[in-house]
Amino acid sequence: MTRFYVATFRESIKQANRKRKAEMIYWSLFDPTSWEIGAEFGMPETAIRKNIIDRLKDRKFGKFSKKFKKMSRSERDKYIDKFFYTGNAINNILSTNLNEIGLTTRPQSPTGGFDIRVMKRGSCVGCIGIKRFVSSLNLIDDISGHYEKIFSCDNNAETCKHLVLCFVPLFGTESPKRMHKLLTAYTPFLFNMETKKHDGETKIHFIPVDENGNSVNGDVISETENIIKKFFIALEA
Amino acid sequence: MGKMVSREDKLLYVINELSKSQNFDGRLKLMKSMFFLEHLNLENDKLTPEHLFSDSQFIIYKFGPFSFDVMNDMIKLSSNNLIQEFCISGYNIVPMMTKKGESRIESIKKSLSDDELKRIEKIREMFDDFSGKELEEKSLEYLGITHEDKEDLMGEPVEDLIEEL
Repeated sequence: MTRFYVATFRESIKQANRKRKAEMIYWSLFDPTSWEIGAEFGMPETAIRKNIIDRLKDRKFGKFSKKFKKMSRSERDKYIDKFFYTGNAINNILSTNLNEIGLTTRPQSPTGGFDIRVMKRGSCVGCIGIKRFVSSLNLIDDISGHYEKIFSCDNNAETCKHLVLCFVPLFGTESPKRMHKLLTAYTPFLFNMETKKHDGETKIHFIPVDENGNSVNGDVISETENIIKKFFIALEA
Repeated sequence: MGKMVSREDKLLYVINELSKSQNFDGRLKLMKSMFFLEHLNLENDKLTPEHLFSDSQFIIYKFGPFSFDVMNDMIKLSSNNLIQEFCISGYNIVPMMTKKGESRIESIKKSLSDDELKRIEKIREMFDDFSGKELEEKSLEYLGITHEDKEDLMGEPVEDLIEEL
């Protein structure tokens, strides 16, 4: 079922407006597994699931909403477990959007180490890692694991540019700007860790997102686009 | 004896039993213990797709078998002040019984069947020495999958995997 629904989801993303896509990114940031290692979501998981379902059923989300409404309850749950909670949804939303701004991208498996590959003339020139952090508990391990995977399974890893985007969902009235300042305090530790692994160009960015899909400088999509464009500027030239 | 016991009450009872051990190191161990309680056939030491304990649904996630039912029940227990969670180190959040929670244990025990009580005791003994992380490894071993397989199977119901064993 998944392949069919992923294709339709990608079609709908193209039709959805920017605000809806930004909100959808927020609701795709929850990784329930992090609860097992101590993260708190700030709201019940059932509320997160309901919010995703409500948005997918909404007509404004394009033709996928019709297909989604026809699914049984267990099919919807399975879809959310497999597609949203595993990180596939955010990879697809971002990848579709990057294609629209002229970057050729290919979303990978959410756990494959490099979630979006940036392509040029058929070969991979950059890797964008998408990380979702409900809390900072597993931050160091997760980013370290990301690099381990890249360098153990990709022959081109040394020549690629690496960008790791760390998305953080905010709760209630938390401010994206304040959270961004707090999180960037981690950067020196992460920088030390990454330079041990890679001599080439590598960067880590924190992107806090509120419930309306807003980040530090405007909506999360613009924020992400700007970071990516800046980092891959050499590719466009 | 053998009255219908809610899923939350069963979980509360299991937390009470696990917290008697010094080796109870948090949510990860609780989640994997609940998985074995649900799907491990003690007679042949093999997993079964049948639900043997609380009817919680498990799927494969980043740390092996995971259940939203268990997670949401835990959150309810905590918000009803039946348990309180303590952070003992970076990753380990350990649920502990509150006085309110402890006061319910006797009545839950009376309502659980002898088989259920034996099952809880047996599973607790079997995995008492294991940390949460070790129990994660053990659960993958029983499921016959590696960490790499697990990544491809994320979101799959465990029953489907067990049937293929």
